[in-house]
Amino acid sequence: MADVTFPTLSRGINLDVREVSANPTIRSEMENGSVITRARFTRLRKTWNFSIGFLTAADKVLLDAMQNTTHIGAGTISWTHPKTSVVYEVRLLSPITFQVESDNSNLQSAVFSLEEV
Amino acid sequence: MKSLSANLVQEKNKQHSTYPWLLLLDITLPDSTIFRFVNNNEDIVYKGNTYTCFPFEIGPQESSVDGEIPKIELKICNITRILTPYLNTYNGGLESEVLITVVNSNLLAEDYSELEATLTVIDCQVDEYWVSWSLGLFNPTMQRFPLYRYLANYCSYPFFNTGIGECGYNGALTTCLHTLADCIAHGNEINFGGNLGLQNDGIRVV
Repeated sequence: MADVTFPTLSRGINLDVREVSANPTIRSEMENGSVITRARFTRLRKTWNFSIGFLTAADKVLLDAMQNTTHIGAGTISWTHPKTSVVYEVRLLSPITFQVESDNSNLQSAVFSLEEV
Repeated sequence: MKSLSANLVQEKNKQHSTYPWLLLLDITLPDSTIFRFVNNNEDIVYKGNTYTCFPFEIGPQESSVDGEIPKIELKICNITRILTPYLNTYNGGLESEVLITVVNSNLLAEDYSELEATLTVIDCQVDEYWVSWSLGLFNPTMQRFPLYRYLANYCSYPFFNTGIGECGYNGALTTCLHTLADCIAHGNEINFGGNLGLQNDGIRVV
């Protein structure tokens, strides 16, 4: 069970989500150039990369609270995919990077990645 | 030469396959507790038993020309400290039995008896990330000689306060001096492992 639910932000994050699956492929190249391949695992876990701009101070508080609660990547987050509405249990891959927007110091952008548990 | 079933040979010889070969561990601790792990990212069911996905690594077999018994290093993730209480209780898990089985995820009903190895834990090292076990076989040159020692007023049974083993004590006291007097104090003299009929001085090898 997840430790926290991903917060609802003032801006939707569905515009800039990049999704990538873990690659379980084991490859071994033979002398004649052909390649032998196998899978290493049975399940393909996904990672989602986000870059959200123009977040308000309240949004930053919510995201900060989330990563403080989960101790960055130690705990898990219940996150609903904005397009498919599928609920995933995920964790932060690394600390969230906040940056003040250059054209409005009251707003910030956030960059982070979520990986499926 | 190993004799595998036709399905396994076919799967083994494929140039490409989406079904991974997985390592299964059946770890049987001295108290018969069994842990079943698979080095996968989801649990699998094999022979009616659920193998929990858990990080572990098996190193290559170590052999030498000195006549040492070959060893294999098994590293099990220790971040969750799941094995720590058992390691503390059972002297690092020494003499635990580890069954290693290689299976294909798509052919779990096949016979894998040729791809099994049963080894014994002969050494243990622990840090915050890994429990590192050396797996090997019983070494006869390390056997104690003389095999049995009969002492007059010393109980040679390992002390546990949980009722297991030859000691059999099950109570609140946590220490034992292995003497008859202390055994009486524990109320466990019926299981005293010393030999009171022997003389207290000198030794004799028979």
